Amino acid sequence: MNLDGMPTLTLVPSPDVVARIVAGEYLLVPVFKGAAEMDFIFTANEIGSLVFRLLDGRRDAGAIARLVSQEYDVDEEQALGDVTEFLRGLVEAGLARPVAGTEGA
Amino acid sequence: MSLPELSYAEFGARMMRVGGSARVPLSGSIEITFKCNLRCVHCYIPDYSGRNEMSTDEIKRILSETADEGCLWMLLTGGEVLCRSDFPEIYRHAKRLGFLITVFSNGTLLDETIADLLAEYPPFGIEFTLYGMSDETYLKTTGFPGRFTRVRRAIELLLERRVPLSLKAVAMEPLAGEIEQMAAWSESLGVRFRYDAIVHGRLDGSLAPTSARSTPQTVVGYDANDPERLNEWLKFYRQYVKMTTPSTYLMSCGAGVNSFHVTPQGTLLSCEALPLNGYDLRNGSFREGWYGIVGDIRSRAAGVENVCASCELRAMCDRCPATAVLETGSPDGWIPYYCEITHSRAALLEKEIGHPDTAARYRAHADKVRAGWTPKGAILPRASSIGSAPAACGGGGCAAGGCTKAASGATTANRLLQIERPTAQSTDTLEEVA
Repeated sequence: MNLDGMPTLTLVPSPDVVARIVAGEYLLVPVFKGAAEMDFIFTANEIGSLVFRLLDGRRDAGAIARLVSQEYDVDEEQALGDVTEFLRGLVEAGLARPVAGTEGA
Repeated sequence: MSLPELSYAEFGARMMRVGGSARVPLSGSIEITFKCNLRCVHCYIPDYSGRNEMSTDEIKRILSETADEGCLWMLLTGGEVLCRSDFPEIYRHAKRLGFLITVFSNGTLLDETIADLLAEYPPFGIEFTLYGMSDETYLKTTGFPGRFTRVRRAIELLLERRVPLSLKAVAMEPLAGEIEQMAAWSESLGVRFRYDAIVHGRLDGSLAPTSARSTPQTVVGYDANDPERLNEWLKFYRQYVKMTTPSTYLMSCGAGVNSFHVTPQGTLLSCEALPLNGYDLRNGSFREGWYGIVGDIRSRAAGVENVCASCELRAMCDRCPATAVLETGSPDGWIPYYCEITHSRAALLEKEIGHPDTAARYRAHADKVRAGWTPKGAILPRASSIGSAPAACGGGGCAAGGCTKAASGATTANRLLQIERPTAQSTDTLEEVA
């Protein structure tokens, strides 16, 4: 998958990944083979879980980074870099995917 | 981008750190049925009829409630889980809740449809219990012909689909000489194999299954003659057993702290074989039961006749309140079979460590038990000919739980998400085979 446009792509969580909070840990558990890397369990920290929950098919990395910046009082440019990298990791792991056409509208 | 990884063991330990102190029900097991297509000589189930068992909707509702309370590791077991025609529906529902699911099965009913389901929605693991290495042995141990052929086919189906299968066995007397064959066969297949020698009394109080037990000498012989097994025992012994101090509490394991069990009739228990402090999930919620009566078992004191509470080896003994109930009728009971095995095993380990005097002391105790000695005031096993005494049953499971909360101020991408490798899970062969 070409992820060059990651900063402007809008993503949605993979429908076959279950996001759960267990004992304070934010877990992303792949359910269906092919949806994500089934050999792994994924954990996200507090900011990562916020980013994942913000994936609605409408917000791009910039919009999410602005919210992260406001919520955690960090530099927006730094946040954008980190969020972009995080989203790339999600897509590569099959935990999220870019929206197609008007899907996120 | 490569995500930071940590081992599954570390992940489990992290979950435990937080979940343990908060009494989160991280690990559960549900016996979805007592029905079974086999009649194994050592089985602890007294009634295979499936009477009064939970409906599909009841099981699904309970699964959902346990997920809501933080359960992560879920064991679906029986009986034989594939005796329920609604297994696929229950399984899919559990998967959609985000459990890490383990399935216990005898494998003889697994067909291509189920194999495809498990390939499509991979479990955390599926474990087949082997009851022999030939159809002839299966006939003796399970009462039915041709079952090994069926299991072999089921194994092929799962391996073809790369479903995470492992094999296990109960090292009981009818399987003498075949455990080693099973281990070698499993290795040739590239699947994990584990075994133990635990054979409980039956849930209705009968001790008939215990007649299938291997002798204590045979059981400890397995440890002595298998270097890998011996090393695991030594590691466990050094790490946990030597630290044991006398306890005034009844419970000697983690049941009811982070683990629970649900019987086919919907009773929530701290452990599958300990019918104390049960809660009827058909008439209440999991939350009410877990944070209510089920947890109270943890504060129950050991009885004055409980001679095991002060034993320095109790951490490595298969006698526990549950096995004691099944064999003696009391959670405080004493079981000479396990006492002899434990002290013989400890003698072996102390000898390996280089403590001949301590080894001799344990050896002498084991010999004394074998000769018929009984502790003063101890509650002893029922006569082996006893019939039935009503005993409800529930279930158990064990796991770990904990948690980490990453520093909230850090926005470094590689701290936002990390992955755990389930395939790196512990290969502890000393856990109970069931």
